[in-house]
Amino acid sequence: MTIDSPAYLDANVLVGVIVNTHRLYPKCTQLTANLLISKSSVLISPVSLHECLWATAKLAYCQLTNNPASAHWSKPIYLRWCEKIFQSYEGWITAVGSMMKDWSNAGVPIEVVPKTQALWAHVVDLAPDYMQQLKLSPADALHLAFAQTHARTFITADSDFEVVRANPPAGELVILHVAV
Amino acid sequence: MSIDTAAIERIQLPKPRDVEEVPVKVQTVTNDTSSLAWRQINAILSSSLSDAGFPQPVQTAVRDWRTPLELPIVVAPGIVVGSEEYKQRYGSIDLEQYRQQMSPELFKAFVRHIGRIPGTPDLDLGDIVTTPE
Repeated sequence: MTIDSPAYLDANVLVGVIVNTHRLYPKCTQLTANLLISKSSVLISPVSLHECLWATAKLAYCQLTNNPASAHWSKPIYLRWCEKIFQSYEGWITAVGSMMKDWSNAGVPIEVVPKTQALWAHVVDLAPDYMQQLKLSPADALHLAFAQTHARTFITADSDFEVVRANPPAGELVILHVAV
Repeated sequence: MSIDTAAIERIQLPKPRDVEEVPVKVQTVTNDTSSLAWRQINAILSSSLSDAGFPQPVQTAVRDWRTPLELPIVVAPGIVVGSEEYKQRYGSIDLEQYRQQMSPELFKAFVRHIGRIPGTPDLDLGDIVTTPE
């Protein structure tokens, strides 16, 4: 599979690569491997890292409490369990950041977006439009805006982006949706 | 062979001092069905350490002694996993293909991180990354 560079990675793909056994694990790892082999530039945003940190904290909480991944999760729960999460599973919380560093040290060109103030201004304008037009959450609208302004490929495992196929934004952005 | 299950008195450990601190990691052995005496010792030690201010230990499940030991598998230089972990993390992936297509450094960085957190088949990636309220 050819992946046009640069490629923006949604948080769910990053989490999908470091967590095993789930239904999309083989496809997430395969797509990521192809991305690394193709020497494509990898773009990530603070929004992606923010979501990855919440995801790994929740997984640690579920592991500690023997709950399923679908268990109720909130900021008050996080605050109650924060100390134990880091005591026992700090390596999970730092996993995505560590993976990014290792990829970068191995020669993968990784960049954090937004790259410039002008592009950031463009993202700020686009995100509310995507929220309104495509009924996306603020975080998803920001992901799409980052991808639209910086990337040629947007890789996501979020089914909410299926709506974008019916009403794609102008430009040449290719959306790769990881699905079963 | 008989096993003596004599009562074991609680061990009082000294409180940790502020100076000369060293990192200590304690692991409680669980699911050990081989010895009642060992379970008592383990419980008392864990309790005493906890009372003395040491952090709660990570719970680690230990296989029954009759279960054969897992043979370690070298995935890449410095990346060694057991056979069960290998199956979960790499069983569905064509590692040989990627080993040939990636540089040794990139392959090592790739295999070091993929699947390092245990998941479940019902994990919803769209849901898990949602920012909580």
